[in-house]
Amino acid sequence: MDQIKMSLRNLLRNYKRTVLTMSVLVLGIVGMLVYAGYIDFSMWGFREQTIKGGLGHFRVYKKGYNSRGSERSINYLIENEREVYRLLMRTAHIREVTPELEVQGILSNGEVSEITLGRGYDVTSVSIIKDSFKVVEGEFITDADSYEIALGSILAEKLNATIGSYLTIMTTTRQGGLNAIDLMVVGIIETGIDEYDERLSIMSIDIAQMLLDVNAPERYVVMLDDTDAVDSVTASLKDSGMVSELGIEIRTWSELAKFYHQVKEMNETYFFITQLIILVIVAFSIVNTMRMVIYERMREIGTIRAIGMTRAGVVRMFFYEGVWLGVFSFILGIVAAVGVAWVINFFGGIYIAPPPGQSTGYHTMIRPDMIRYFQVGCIVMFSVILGSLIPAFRAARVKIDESLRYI
Amino acid sequence: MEQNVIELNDVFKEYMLGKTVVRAVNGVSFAIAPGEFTVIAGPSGSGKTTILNMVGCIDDATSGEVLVKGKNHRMMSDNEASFFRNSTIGYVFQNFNLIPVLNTYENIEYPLRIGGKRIDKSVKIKIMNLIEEVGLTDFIKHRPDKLSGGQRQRVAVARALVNNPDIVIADEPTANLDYNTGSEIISIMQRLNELYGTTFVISTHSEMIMKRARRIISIIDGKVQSDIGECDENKNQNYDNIFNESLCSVTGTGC
Ligand SMILES: Nc1ncnc2c1ncn2[C@@H]1O[C@H](COP(=O)(O)OP(=O)(O)OP(=O)(O)O)[C@@H](O)[C@H]1O
Ligand SMILES: [Mg+2]
Repeated sequence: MDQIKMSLRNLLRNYKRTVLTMSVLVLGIVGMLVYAGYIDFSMWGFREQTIKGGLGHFRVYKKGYNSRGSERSINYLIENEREVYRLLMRTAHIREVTPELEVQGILSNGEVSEITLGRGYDVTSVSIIKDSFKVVEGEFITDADSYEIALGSILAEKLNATIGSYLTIMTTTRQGGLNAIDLMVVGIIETGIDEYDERLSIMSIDIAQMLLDVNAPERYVVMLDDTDAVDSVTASLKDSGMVSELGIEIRTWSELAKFYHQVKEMNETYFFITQLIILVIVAFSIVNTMRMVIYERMREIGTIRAIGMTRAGVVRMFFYEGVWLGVFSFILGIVAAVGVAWVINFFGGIYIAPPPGQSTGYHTMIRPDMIRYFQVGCIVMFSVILGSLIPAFRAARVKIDESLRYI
Repeated sequence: MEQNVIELNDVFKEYMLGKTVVRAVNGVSFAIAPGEFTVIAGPSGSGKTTILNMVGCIDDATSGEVLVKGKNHRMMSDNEASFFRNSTIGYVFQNFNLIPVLNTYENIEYPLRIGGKRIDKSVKIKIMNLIEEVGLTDFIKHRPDKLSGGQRQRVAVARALVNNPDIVIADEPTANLDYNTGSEIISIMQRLNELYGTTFVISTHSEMIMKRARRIISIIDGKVQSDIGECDENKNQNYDNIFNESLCSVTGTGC
């Protein structure tokens, strides 16, 4: 009969209380993991949305573009467009490469004028771009040299534009001259973010270049077949020496998505605080249970001390009970958390109302992450063991004659 | 002369109860030789448990000297004291104090486990003999809650003896048992005392036990009132009279 087995028997001795304590622990673990799974899912969705929403996995610019300060981006175009494009197209994992040119201008219907942030894309190769918004009316531009434009829904409303309307877009060329072109509205789009829908317009890059009187894109947006490959692909591009040879620079989505990182950081903080609260509850419930256990077994402690158990032996005895509690709760908690996540996902997730600044809500799933599970399980187990040690140390220090007199 | 296994020299024990000092033991001296079967008698609150705790090395005197096998508990570290208790002293308690999650065999074996002894075949045979000695062969696998009070105390007696201790300390071992059962427990203790030569110190206020004692130390108000039957080869001992003598000295009736 060794101590480890004995501690297990002791736990089973008052199995109702053990079950009750373990339910608190399991609930704590499930709570933490479901919350973590929700955050992880949201962040994963947010990440993919950020990437597909026009940012791409990484972007390629002319060297100096990102440190140009207040200089116009038009002075940093990728003039060696063909070489860069060819380099990108023969790199592994790269699924799609799209040139892009931003046009800031004024859109007018003859009566009302509105500022627009226009984007010129290679409209023939833009699955990337098509993912970043919904076409709510009409269709997307299909022809590279057609004089067509798609408008954000709020912008369209302000300009009284419908499908088939003609609008004039006015811009300043690279040399500073004024330029204007008439374009036909073919589509009305929505990004889900009001600020964008108020300003955004989409056109073919050929039209954009014509408006600015240039013949190069300002960046390439690159999509990979796997988000996890970003670092290795960009590293291999830099290592190959071609980046410096072609005079370009690379920014990954992660470097560009400041907002993503802010949200992620905020979520991590929330998660940390939640975790802390749950941990405190867990620790309290353990300390409480173990205190009760120890008071109940006061005379037993006196007895085993009298027949020769050392103080360390007493601590060990309760430590083992804490370990059992922790281990069982760890296993049950993770199994329960996986189960709860599965059930939530099975029934289509949790509906989340539209976040501020967005017009549509969405369903969130729970995204189980084994590392998270392991972390949370370990943290709970650790606090259980710690929580059982504190009363155990006190039990070991009680005077033997007093614990024997204890009723 | 053989060395005394227990020696108390002018022992005082005081407890603080709030601001008042309770003097539980008030200048007690006595010595017990190896193999004696001694009864500490006295009314409730007279200090029996306090004395036995000091003899059993689980409490210290406020002043005076308590020597067990020549060793002073006060001089030992907690670990040394634990080891000393494990190897030298066996305990029998009024409330049995068995470990509820262990069965008869495991309870008896437990002090050996605590002492880190290897439990080999010969040890197991010894434990089985002990179980037979206390008459529990049919109850080896029973947990304490499936045993009667008398059976529990038999387990406790066997547990107290499993480590071949020099001393067994029993604080009112029959107080929770009926007359006959208590009497059986005392018989078992006496038999084991003769068999192994273990020193027994038993506290009680039961006449039944006192009548069967070889030596009675009477305690009243923390003081030794009388000490009759002390091992003395010059004295012609008549055990039958000890109880009466003790009773007379305690009550003060000159009989
Ligand atoms: N921890 C303590 N704090 C204060 N007083 C105590 C403590 N332990 C014992 N006493 C007092 O010491 C005195 C002796 O107590 P003790 O338990 O030794 O008596 P006893 O002879 O064993 O009595 P009983 O036959 O009822 O068991 C009593 O007056 C008791 O109230
Ligand atoms: Mg007592």
